Amino acid sequence: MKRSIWAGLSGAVCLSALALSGAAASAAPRVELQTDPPLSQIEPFSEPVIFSLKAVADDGQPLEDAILELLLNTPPKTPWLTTDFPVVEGTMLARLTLPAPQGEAQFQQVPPIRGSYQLQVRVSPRVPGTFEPYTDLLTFQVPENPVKYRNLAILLSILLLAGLGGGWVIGGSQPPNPGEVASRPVQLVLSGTVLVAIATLLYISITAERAGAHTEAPTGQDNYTEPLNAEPVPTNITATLEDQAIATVGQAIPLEVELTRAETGEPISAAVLDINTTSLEYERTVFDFTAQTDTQGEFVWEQQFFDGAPHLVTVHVSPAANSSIPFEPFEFSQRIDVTGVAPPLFVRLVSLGYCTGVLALGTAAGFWLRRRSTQHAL
Amino acid sequence: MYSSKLSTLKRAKQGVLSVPVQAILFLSLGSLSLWMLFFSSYPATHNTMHQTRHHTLGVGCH
Ligand SMILES: [Zn+2]
Repeated sequence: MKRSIWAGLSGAVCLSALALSGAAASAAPRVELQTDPPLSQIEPFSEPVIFSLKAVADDGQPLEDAILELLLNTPPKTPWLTTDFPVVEGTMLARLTLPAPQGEAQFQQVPPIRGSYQLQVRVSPRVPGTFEPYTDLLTFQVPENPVKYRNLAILLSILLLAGLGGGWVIGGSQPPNPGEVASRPVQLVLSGTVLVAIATLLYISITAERAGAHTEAPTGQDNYTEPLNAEPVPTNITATLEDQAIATVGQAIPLEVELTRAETGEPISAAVLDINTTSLEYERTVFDFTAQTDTQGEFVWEQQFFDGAPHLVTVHVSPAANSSIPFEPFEFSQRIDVTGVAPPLFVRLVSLGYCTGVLALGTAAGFWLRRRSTQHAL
Repeated sequence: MYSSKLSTLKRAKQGVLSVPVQAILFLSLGSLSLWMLFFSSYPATHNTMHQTRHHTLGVGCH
């Protein structure tokens, strides 16, 4: 007992030492994160969240003329209580470089699942040597959608009730006497029907798993047609958007925007790109940020399309304030079909196990209640 | 010969109607129905249950 108190005390001392070193570390250059809506009000796989980042020097002043390299990772895998996107757990959501002239940058992202996300931010000066580059690792917690708790409660209640009913019926069937079997054709026919149903379900399930073991066709049925573009690409500019891999749920893929002058092939650098990804199934923004082309007229980033549905990536281009090549702002877009991936079999079997367990509990309870009531009646 | 066949049949019927077999049949049917509704990749049920799957805790979809 005494030992455990001492262990507790020394633990507290360690913790406060950690807190002190934490306070010391907060004087070092860091990145501050703000979200809109606030973290506690975020729902996963719903509206996009605005993430605002601010690179701050050790004196608390924002670092000017900075570049923020972001790496956003989804929460670790939770095989014992899966999220609704198990394939997305523990993967890279995005990697991109944002300009931060005033030390600030923003992006919008729909967090696909609950849990603790990791956002690694590397801050470096646009002009080397202005300040010492540093990396800050930010984490933020996204709560689960409250509707999911309600629906689980409803499902488990139904299972418990179904189990109680089944157990009650089974408990009511007297152990048949040898001569009595023939007089119970109804139960036999019922059992036969159940057997046939089980075989059919088993057959369909196994066929479906074999057909879609790894990939599934995108589920989104949409009637998307290219909208009339009010800001077409000027004839003297070549603008391309390339996805350099097949978009698959669970994997971030590299994408590239390239801007050149059509006649000379000369790159258009420092153009401002507002890059927006919209889910065509839900018709809402899932990812949005503003970046700039480099000296090669290129901008490369990585992003994961976490929903197996068609998406539209739209790039709105406007010239930089000090652009040597003036042009009218324009917009172009590309549709990206995303291949869905079925959740791992193990994860699904774990959840099925929980549900069947509750059904079995209900059945046992129903059986016991019936037997008890018949014994009382006797 | 004939009577032994008859008694085998009888015993089979008794077996089917016994409590453990009835319970196993019931739980198997329930479990497989759950699989079809919430966990199978069978397109017809997956597509109709997609929203419900995404809105139930502990159910993975894609
Ligand atoms: Zn799905």
